[in-house]
Amino acid sequence: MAVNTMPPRTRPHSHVRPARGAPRRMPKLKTVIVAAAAYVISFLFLFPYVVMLLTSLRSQDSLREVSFWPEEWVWSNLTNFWTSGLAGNLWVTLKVATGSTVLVLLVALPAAYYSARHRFRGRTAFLILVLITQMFQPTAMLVGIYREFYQFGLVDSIWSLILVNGGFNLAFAVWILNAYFASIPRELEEAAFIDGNGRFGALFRITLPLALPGVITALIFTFIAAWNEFVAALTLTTTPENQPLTVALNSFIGQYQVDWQNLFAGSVIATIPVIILFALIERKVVGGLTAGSIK
Amino acid sequence: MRVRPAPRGQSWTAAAMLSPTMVVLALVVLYPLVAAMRESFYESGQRLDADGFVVEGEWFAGLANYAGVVEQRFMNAAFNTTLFTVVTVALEVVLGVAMALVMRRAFRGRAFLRASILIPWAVPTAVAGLMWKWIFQADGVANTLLGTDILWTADGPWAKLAVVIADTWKTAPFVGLLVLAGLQIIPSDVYEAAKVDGSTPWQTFWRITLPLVRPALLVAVLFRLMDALRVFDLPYVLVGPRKQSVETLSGLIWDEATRVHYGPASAYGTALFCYIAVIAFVFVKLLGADLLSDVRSRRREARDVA
Repeated sequence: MAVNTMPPRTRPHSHVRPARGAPRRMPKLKTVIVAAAAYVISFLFLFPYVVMLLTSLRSQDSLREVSFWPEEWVWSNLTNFWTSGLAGNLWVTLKVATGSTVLVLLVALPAAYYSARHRFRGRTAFLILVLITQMFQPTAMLVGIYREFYQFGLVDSIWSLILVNGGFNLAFAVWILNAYFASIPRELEEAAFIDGNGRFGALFRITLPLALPGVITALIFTFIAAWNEFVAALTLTTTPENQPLTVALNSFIGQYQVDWQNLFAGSVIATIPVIILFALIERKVVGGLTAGSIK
Repeated sequence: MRVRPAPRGQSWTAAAMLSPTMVVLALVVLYPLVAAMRESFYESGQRLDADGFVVEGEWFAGLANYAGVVEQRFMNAAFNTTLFTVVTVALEVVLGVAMALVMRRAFRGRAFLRASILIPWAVPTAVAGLMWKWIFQADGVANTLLGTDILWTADGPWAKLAVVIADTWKTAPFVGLLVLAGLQIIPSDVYEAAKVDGSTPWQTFWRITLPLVRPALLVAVLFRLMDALRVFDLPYVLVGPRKQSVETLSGLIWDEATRVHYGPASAYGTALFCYIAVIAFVFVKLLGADLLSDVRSRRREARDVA
């Protein structure tokens, strides 16, 4: 998924003023037309979800009925999910997404902090190298990754998925964190150091709290990307129980009879966490990108 | 920024802080990439040695694995990939700009609109693919609404259109997001000046909005190009693997890899990698100078102010 946005050279607290009103006063009629266009657009974008949601509440027999609304609402499709095998796959997804987020946090934080605070030989080379790894796409490396993990005996293991998802999202995290740390004035940290907090005290009491919005954004991005990942999981897992939800849902397809209502119940459940997380950072994403270009 | 040679102790700290990142990237990106490139020149399996015994092993194959590059299946996949990229990126730019222009306006329910437009971007592609597969079924919602009997998800020309529609729905928000970010930094006095000069909305868009939003748009297009060239999930989920009409280069590579044809898979992977690198390079060369000059002029302005 296209989570890999450009690394915003952000200044943390420069919130974007939501374009309050258009740049110039508009006649009333125009506002109405724009709003109408907006409602049509949002309907077009939401329509597939409505279809998915409604289908997830149908009974098996009424899947083929023509009526838009289900004749009876089968809420048990959503509750049955938790007793089906898919609950195990959701658990795998959760472990992979959490694991790779923790990995990215542990690995990217020191690198980003150090390269933002210190000038050292190879600093630019390091940052550019990290950025270039972002450009390589999974499919070109898939054979290499598969064979590598095969040698380690890590195929079909959750650790390989955690490592791969961590690696795929590391570059973005390093860049965004580096930008945040660089934007925090050194003097603040030094003042805290002189006040007797010690190096680590200064780091944990001053710098990290100030960089927290950046850290959270980077972590949520990693979590969403790992939660949604498909190709690597499809290649690296071989038994159904070890597959994350995205892969497991798709293995329903191609069976003799597809239980669309159960499939969509699973899809709805797989989608809700990502949407909540994305809603949390949405403003920050737009803000970060904008702040980058103002400079 | 001038790099001062670091004192000794510092370079150890640098190594300690940066090495975890380097190790993970080496394991997940660099080694697999190099290994795949090496593999693309080798062949493995069984063959008879000089005495007629079966030996198992790996030997240098030169460019033999690349032979498939000129064959019909690869050419077809390359054509599909290019077609999807051109069509979807073009559609996404037009829609994305339109969405950003609407999202910038103030009206009741704007927050809701923004959320509903941006959500598709966060949804797992695999789930989005399933959703559209259901909509595009033979007796599905799309055919019911249109009153047609099109086999959208069967191998054929309609499958191409289905993938394009689903992909545009999924990623136009991304372009819209980046363009919106670019729009929000255009100072409002520019528009006021244009209005005083009697500029029509049409002129304002082409002469002011578009040129000023260009840098943000170019970044969005670059990212979309690199992403679209490696598309895999949507055709795979929506239509299926090994379907001629929608098989992309990534799909072909995946298929060869699952058939344990590691040599050709690696060769195609290397070819795709080169293709993307060339496109990105040409794009940056053709339009990147513009981006740079933009940065330079901004810096100059900043200096003049100071």
